[in-house]
Amino acid sequence: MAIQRKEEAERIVDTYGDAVYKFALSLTRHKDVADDVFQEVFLRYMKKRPVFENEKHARAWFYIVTKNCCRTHFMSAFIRHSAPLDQEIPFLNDPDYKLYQYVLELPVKYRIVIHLFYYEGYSTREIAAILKKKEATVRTQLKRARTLLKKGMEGSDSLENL
Amino acid sequence: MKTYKEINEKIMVPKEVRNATVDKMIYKQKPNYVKVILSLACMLLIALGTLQVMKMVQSSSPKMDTGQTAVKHKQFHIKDYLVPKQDEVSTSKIFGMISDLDTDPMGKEMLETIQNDFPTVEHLIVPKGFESKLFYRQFKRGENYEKLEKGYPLIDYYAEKGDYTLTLRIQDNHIPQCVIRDGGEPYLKGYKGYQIAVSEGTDQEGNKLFWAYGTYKNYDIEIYAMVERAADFEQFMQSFLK
Repeated sequence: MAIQRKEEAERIVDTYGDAVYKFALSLTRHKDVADDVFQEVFLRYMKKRPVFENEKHARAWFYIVTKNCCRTHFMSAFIRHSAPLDQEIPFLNDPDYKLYQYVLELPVKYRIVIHLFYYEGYSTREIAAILKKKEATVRTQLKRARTLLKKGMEGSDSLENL
Repeated sequence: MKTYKEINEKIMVPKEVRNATVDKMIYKQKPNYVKVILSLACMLLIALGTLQVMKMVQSSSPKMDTGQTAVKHKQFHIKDYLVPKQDEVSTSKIFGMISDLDTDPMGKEMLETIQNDFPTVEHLIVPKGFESKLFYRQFKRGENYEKLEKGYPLIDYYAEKGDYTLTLRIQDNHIPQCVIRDGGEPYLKGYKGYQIAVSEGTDQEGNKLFWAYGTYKNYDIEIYAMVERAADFEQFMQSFLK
């Protein structure tokens, strides 16, 4: 029984762990906070034991829960007044990874759509379904995110790298 | 320069985080029988002790006149504690580290004290369907990990359902902050040993927001709520300030 439980926990963490972690890191911008969010997401999975219709549904569930966990974290009164000790993401100083830094500087709502669109490869319609927003809103957010990125990167490379 | 996708391909869950999460997921499923039995035994002892004390008090105190009633606090209502609308206060950020108190053997005394001071946090009333989580933690201030100071206790409570959220933070007032000392102090009003003020508003999406802050003994308290109805927040506050 215990082995079965361990296997199930490992299977679920190994299947969705990286995706959750990347998303959490992009949303929170801090390694230690992303660690906390990561753990919270999988504990929620264990508590709820959702039954997924398919792989797409499962991934959408993990994204929405990660987003909510990050949101709860940001809403915490304390977070609004304190800053965690800097735990830099190791590769950020590498000029090759400059783009990631620019993305992290975007407001969180733009980071969400950028991540889902450019990393996960979701269409705007799929992102709208995951975030329960209108497709037009997602498209506008993507456009604004690109404009902000372009502004931030002026003098650097072009947006073709995105 | 690498693309966003290429960069993300490089990001992996740290092994220790992955393993700790798997361990917690397994642990979460097992009921902790030792803890349950100990809690029941403690409750029984407390009940017996209370009965004994009540008996002693009854036998030693003169009888009350008929019709005499004990002084009762009236129920907590938001409207009695509302503050005028204020501009967003700007507070300087403090650097530091938060860690769990209940897993730190050095923090046992700190944990017991804060649990005794705030027994109601274990039984807060939240709207139906909300899922909640309670953390006992400590905050160590410092410019970097080598220069961390002594820890001070704090309690974090989160409850949420969909887009609705309730968060409560109680922290030792040695931890620098906060709105109370940033212009909020004049609005505090007394309630059962607490000093409390409530502010209300709406967020950018039109959701109802409540924000309560206050003090109790040597603690600062801050509650932030995005709820469907004012009554949900009021009920939460009543269960906290019991």
